[in-house]
Amino acid sequence: MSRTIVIDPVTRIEGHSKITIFLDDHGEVRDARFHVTQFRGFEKFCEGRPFTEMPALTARTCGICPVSHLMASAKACDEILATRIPDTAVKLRRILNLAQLIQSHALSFFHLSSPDLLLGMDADPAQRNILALAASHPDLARDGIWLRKFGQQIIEQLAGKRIHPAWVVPGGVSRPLTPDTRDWILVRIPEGIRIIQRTLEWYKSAYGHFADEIEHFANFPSLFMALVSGDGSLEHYDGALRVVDERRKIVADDIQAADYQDYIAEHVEPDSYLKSPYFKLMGYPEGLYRVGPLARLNCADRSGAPLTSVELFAFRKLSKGAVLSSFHYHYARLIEILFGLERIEQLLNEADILSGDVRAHAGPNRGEGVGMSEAPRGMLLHHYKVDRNGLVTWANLIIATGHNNLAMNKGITQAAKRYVKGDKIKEGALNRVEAVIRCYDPCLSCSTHALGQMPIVMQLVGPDGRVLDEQARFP
Amino acid sequence: MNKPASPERCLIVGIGNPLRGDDGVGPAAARAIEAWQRPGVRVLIAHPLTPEIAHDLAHVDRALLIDADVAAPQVVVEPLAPSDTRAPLGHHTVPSGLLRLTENLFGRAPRTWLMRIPASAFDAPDALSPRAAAALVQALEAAKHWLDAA
Repeated sequence: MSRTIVIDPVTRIEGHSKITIFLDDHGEVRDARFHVTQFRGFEKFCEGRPFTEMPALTARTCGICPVSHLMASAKACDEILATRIPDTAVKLRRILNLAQLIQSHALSFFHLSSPDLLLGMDADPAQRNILALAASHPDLARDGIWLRKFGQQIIEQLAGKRIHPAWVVPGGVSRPLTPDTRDWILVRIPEGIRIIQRTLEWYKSAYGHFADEIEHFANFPSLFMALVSGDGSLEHYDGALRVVDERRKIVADDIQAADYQDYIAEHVEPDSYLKSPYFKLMGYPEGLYRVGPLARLNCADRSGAPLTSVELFAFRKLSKGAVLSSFHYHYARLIEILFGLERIEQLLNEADILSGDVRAHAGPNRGEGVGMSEAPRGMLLHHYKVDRNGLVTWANLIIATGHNNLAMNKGITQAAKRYVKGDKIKEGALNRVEAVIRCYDPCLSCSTHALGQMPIVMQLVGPDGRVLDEQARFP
Repeated sequence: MNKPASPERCLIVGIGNPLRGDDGVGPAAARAIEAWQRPGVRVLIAHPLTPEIAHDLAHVDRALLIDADVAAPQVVVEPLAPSDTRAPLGHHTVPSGLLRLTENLFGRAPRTWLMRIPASAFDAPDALSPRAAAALVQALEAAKHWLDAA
């Protein structure tokens, strides 16, 4: 008799979801499904609004990654303006986007995932959290707080406030950088680099203890998709999409934002509000691909930043081809924090960074615009159509967490087959299946556009549909 | 000549999302207090309480956290002690847990009070209900007393 396990809610991620694990007649895991159980339908709210409002409006999709929405939205609006925005504005937007990356990655690694790494996957959940981490490893917890706060402070210094800033506008940014702000950021960069370098050294010495998790946490061949710059360097703001396979062989390259529908299609599953995008040329579900920090490092030829290049060289030694285990999303996040700090320093030292020429003004000159950028969790795409008055008639948002939906489902199936035994959910198994999801740092508030934080429910279901066990964690 | 005593460093944290109706009453109170421009008083707005605020708390003598509360019959200002209470599931924390985090990481936490303001309506963006608006007036009076008691 086959049966089912349900984990509901999933913890330490953003949004609300549950996991169902289906057992076969022999009590072995047959399949697992990640269901996102909340819905907002944000695109519909946008219809009828002036396109110039879209950056500020869509940033409200999320309190965790509003800057990412500002970027993709402003770039879609730039396309509608059909104008070239000033070079300094591009640089300032890049800095803001990287600051968002630093604070988001710091939160994901230090606050949400490091308790698993430092306190143990099997530890009592009451003792496996940021408070316990602060007591047992205060230096690491302080480092996480420093980096998170620094990223937030850069956003606040540039854009006026940490959450829902309105500084990024169609055509550029609303005001230039001041010398004081530039100097305030620059003087703090070296401390940030010291912190992330010692964290990387610790991670590299520690991940060997997690060989089993590395082997079974969403470790499978797949495609990877990310923006790369014109010379193939690591890119978060501009460039074009690249898709590589498990050997890091380029499958598709130089995909422009306007052409995304030729390469990406969205499948809808009946048991989740989170759509399942796939690589169109390979069909569904074979076109499963991954996005985010791991994908970006797998897709890029180089980093373009000296200290990051050293780390990327070491990272490449994990595999002859692409690094396939999603456990190493953590590693990739740390490397990207280093990259963010280095690139911000480079950009702030550019000769024209204090230029007052930061915004191009125009009316709507095109009826359609697509903007792509790399959010901390992966490629984010905004696509708008407007009427002749510039009012939005249609909008589509494809969010990083959505891109990873098929990979998360495959990943939890792999982990459940390894760690779930019998018809009861043990804590270590529950946490490991959740931890696979946490590797992707999903933001369901964005991707379904659901409200609030993410409790998780896990259910174990038999072949007759009977729920055998259920574990829930709520606030 | 006697050196003048340095003013006590105070942190005011308005907790809530102004786009969620009465949930914005904490930030509204904090903004009003900021406009008083009292020396030594710093104001933060936090949609949720996030861990990095521990760093801000560690560097002040007293703190007042202001939040909306559907269960508060009136404006309440009460001392807050560190505890192991946590919000384990997402990106945010709770006031007493944040104090414990501050204590663990920085060796001290400031003397802290929690102000709870009655709230009831969360649908209207950027607007307070009559109940919360009336409570905001009382909350600002209470905040003045709290600051004067330094």
